[in-house]
Amino acid sequence: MAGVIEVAALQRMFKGPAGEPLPAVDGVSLRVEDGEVYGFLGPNGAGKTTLVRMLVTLLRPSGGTATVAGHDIRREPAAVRAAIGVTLQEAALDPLMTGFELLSLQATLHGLRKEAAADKADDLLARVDLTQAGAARLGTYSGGMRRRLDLAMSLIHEPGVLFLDEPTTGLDPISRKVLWDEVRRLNTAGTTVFLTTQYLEEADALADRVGIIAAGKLVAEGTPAELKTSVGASRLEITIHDLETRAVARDLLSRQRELLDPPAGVSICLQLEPGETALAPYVVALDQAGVNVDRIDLVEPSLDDVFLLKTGHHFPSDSDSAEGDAAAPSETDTTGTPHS
Amino acid sequence: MIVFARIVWAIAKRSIVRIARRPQSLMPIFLVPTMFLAVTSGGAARAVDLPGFPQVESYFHFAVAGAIVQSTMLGGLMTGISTSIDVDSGFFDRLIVAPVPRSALVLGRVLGGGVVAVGQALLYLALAAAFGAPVRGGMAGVAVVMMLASLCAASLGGLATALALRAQAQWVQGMFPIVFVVIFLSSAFFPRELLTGPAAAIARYNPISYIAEGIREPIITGLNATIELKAFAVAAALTLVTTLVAVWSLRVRLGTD
Repeated sequence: MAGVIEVAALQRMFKGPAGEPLPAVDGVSLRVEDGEVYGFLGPNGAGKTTLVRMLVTLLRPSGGTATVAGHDIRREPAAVRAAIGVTLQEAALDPLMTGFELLSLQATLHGLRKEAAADKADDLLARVDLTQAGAARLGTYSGGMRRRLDLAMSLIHEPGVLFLDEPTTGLDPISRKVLWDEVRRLNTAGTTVFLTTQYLEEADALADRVGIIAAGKLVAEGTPAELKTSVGASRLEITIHDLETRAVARDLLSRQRELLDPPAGVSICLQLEPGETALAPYVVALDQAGVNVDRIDLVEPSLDDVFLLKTGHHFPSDSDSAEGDAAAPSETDTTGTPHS
Repeated sequence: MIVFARIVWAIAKRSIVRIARRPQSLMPIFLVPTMFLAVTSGGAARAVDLPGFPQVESYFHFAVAGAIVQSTMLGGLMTGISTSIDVDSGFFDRLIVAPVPRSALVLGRVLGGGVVAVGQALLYLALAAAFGAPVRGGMAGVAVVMMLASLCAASLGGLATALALRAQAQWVQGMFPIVFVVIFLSSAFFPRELLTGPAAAIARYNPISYIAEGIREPIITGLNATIELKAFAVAAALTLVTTLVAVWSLRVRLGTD
């Protein structure tokens, strides 16, 4: 049985600063099953948005094939658009319009008559808890409210497949949680969700399966648990402020387990054996050696570890991403239209 | 077909509502033609004494049509700038990701500019009446002026939308001085019969001349079937061509269907 989204060797080239071809998406293949939440994880500029724009028919692929809801994105773009809901990056909404007006406009674009469009707009405003704000112009909405309205606009025609392109980027934790709950609710109701995100915890919390993209290539794919297991065992992170006892501890522990490069703020990082979860033997050994431990943490593998294993570097934080964007060459297609 | 028309009107309505909520965006397209009208009406007041100049109350009476053409052409450019803003903000992506015919998205914008132009024309006709320059063609003349003004804005709106979909906003804004040149090389502010040399030749082949004359005739004389038919034919052809170019431009931009 075919997947709801099937992507085979999809590619999109842009022109580099000197006119040279640069692959933004480089031969990505993936499959999303019916009713699944697929998390597409990657840092800024990795190619997430470019892939989504191709799948929702906003951008023509340079190579490869893809079907969405059984329709080829090149040959049947209108059928693809009729089957999907899309929430694009940055919640591009007209600040001069009201929430009700934008939902009504979107309903009209999907073929609803005036009265039906108005009813649908009211219904969706209630669903995303914006009934009170429905008559207010978008310019007065908070970031979280705009995102919720954006999501409501993508649900006008009750699509079976929903594309959410970084829906929580820039949102505060509470607004993010509200949106996560709505995504879960939609998925429980049967909607297949393709979610791009640059937040590890978002992919971990929402996705049934995760695809990790770096530099335009899909570098890992699986359930969050599978991906973490593939990295290996948990590790022990120990912080010891006293320099003398720190050396003693390092010497003691290095005879028991392999030592890893510790992350910032951690004195010693110890690779545990697969399945090993007990702290006590190490605490006892250090205590008997007279080492005063300031902090000890058992750290399970994360998606960041998966990213590190597959790409050779840690997943960039928000600030790293911003710096990276500033330094990166802009992606420009042949029409001169920039894409993120 | 009904669904198509409903979508076109929904897009047009949004353009109109946006302008109604930010009327200051229209200031340049009223201020510039109005100031130009005031200056030329003073400076060229004696032009009406030239042999062969049409019988008018004043040069102001003659030039009101030129101001309407200027204002509605600039209004058409605003349609393109509005499209550029939607493209840059990402709102346009939201429209094109909906399962709607591409031509409806373009037609809606062009129609919106055309409807706004009706208001522009009425404002100038009211201004003319206030300063002793009545519409001699009566209510039928007013209707003709409104329709031609609407088509004039729509024709430029199509062109500016086409440009906005293929280039950046600066290119659309860069059309402002070109519009002025095209108007001054037409018969919008001076009778074609009195132009000589290259100016006469250029005005003869400048489609804006025919639209301006079609707007002017009901104001200064009354309805003349030949002049109006020419004006409507030119304005409708321009609107059709530029709108088709805009639809083509959108399809090339998307490269999908």
